Amino acid sequence: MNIKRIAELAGVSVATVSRVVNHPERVRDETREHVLSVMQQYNFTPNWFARSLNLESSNTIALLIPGIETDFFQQIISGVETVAGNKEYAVLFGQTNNYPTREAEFVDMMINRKVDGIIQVNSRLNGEETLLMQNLELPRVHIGKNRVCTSDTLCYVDIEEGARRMTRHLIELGHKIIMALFDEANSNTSEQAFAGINRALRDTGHTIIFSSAQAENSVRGGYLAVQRLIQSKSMPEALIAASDLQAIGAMKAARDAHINIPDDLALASLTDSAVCSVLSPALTALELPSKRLGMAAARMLIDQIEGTLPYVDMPHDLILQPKLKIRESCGNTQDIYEWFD
Amino acid sequence: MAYDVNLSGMTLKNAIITAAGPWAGNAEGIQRCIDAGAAAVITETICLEERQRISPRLFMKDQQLFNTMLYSNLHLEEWERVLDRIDRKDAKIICSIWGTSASEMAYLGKKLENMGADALEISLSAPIGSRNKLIGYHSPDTEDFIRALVDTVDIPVMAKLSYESASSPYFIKELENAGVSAFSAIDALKGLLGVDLEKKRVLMPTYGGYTGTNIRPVSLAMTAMLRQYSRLPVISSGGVLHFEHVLEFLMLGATAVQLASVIQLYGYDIIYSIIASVENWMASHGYKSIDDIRGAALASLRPFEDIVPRTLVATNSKPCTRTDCTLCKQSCLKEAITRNDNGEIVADTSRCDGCGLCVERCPDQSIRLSWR
Repeated sequence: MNIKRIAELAGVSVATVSRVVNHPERVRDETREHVLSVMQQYNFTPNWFARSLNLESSNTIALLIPGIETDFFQQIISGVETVAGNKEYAVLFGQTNNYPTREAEFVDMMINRKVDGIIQVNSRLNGEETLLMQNLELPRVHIGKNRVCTSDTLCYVDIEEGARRMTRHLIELGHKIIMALFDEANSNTSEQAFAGINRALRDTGHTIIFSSAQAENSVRGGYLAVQRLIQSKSMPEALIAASDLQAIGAMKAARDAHINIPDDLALASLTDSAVCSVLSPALTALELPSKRLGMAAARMLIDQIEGTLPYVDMPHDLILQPKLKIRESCGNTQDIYEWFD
Repeated sequence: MAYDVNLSGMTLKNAIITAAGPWAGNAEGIQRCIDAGAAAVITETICLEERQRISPRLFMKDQQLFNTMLYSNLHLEEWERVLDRIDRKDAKIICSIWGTSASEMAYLGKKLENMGADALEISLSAPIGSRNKLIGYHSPDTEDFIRALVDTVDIPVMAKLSYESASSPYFIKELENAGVSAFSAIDALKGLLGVDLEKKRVLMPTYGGYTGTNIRPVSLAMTAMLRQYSRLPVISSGGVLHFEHVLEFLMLGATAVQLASVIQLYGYDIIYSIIASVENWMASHGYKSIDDIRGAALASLRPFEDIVPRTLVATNSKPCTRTDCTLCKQSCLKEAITRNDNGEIVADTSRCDGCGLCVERCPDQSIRLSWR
């Protein structure tokens, strides 16, 4: 199937099909609907068209990611790499450190290297900065819940729902003063977690005192944050850390101050990792399907590149659900050592 | 003689489908199911992320089989190659799928449709592993979740039900509203093999899927119930070991029947043997189509309240002097069965209240129920 054939089947010119794809506002509604329905019927997608006209495939995709030090990002990389390998694509990799300028430089660099598509993780670029990619119709997938322009494909984990369930769990265990430590470098994820916590607070019949603070997403960040809370005598009954690293730091600070977890302080982490289950007490944490997220994003990107994207109607999002792994650190005393919500 | 079946617009050449399971976990397994004559093969459950297997993962005690397998260990890309490679002949390929959200299910379903799946089966409530409880069971989200998939794909979507979900008319209605085109029932029951008393430990490390011959009565009941709740086709599964079991399910209204544990226990050849035996039985009884027997036994199934009490009591149908068997005597809570001075088993009709267990248990048909 090619654009010529679509044009023939729709009874319009090739230029009209092209306009439907690139500048739909310039095509009469009736004509546009008709052409789109023919395209849909033959599973013909706009990006396939762009690729077939303009570019030779380099069988390379770019992955721009804020950092490589956390388990979450490592798993995303592993997922992207796994699917790319399966489909015989190489992955070019760029670490943005959350700097928009760095990310923009990487985008230019990747375009110059003729990558077939780009995956951006927690992108900091705004609509204007992505204009070149849009004009080139370069296949793109975002990991994270931040849509830059309406045609973007998004993949993300429903952190909001996970944070809601975690907060509900803490409330059910009787904790009345709850605090969240957010990752100071990742406002997007923090906002989602905050929204979920708020939903849980709204839904409960109890009066809960909630506060939040920003901290570095590291062991040190968690350690310092809890030390500060101890010194200012403002320790909550339950603390939600942004990550397992922060939670480990918080544990260490609590232990140094002879604060018992979970008796004196309930502790939970918004990201799970392999160490959470071997800590003592085992840490209640949100398992984010980060590898699956990377795999899904790479699949959706390659779908676009190869013109096998299932949907013609753009945009579309792929949302994965996290799983709350209830262990011991919040005061759960069930006999089964680990259960889920 | 043609015993083909129409399932949601698909023509199946017979009524036998191999269930989702490890026997259909790769190209070789699927091919062997096809070559053995299965009308349709359901793949092992495919997800966006592969799952490593645990070992051991199958547990068995007496006739009780337990598995702790959840998803396929192949990537979606590998499934694409599997689906490309197999020679389908005239069999249908149904992909079993699972995801955690509406968008995930819709994406996965559409991808598999593009890869050539003839239909999809949602593994809605497998008993193994943990799931966000909202989705597998009756909840306001379920309908949206399934509808997203149904609206996205252009092939039939079947829902595989657990015993619990099949038992709920409301849940069934919700799935119908969401647009599923058939029900598979039942999935394995959640089970544990037992406890090692000395070590005070469970005999298997996690909940397993309990399958095999012992769950067949449960599945038979669910097939009959689903026929009452819903107009959608039912594909029965659960403990089918023998061709007569297939016929039982068909007579209770099943459109087709899934084979599962039996393949694990006896190998792929059993598929052919069951299909041939069903067809032989049909032909020898002069039936020209599965429709001749489908649901034929349902009319004899009545509500408990409608059964007219009959005053039957146990009587001897022939003398029994066996000393090696006291099953009838053991079974009688009313002490109506005794041995007389001649060593003969005698039923006392004045004590008997007609429960019928002695008749069921007697190996020699020496006792029967008759009017008082």
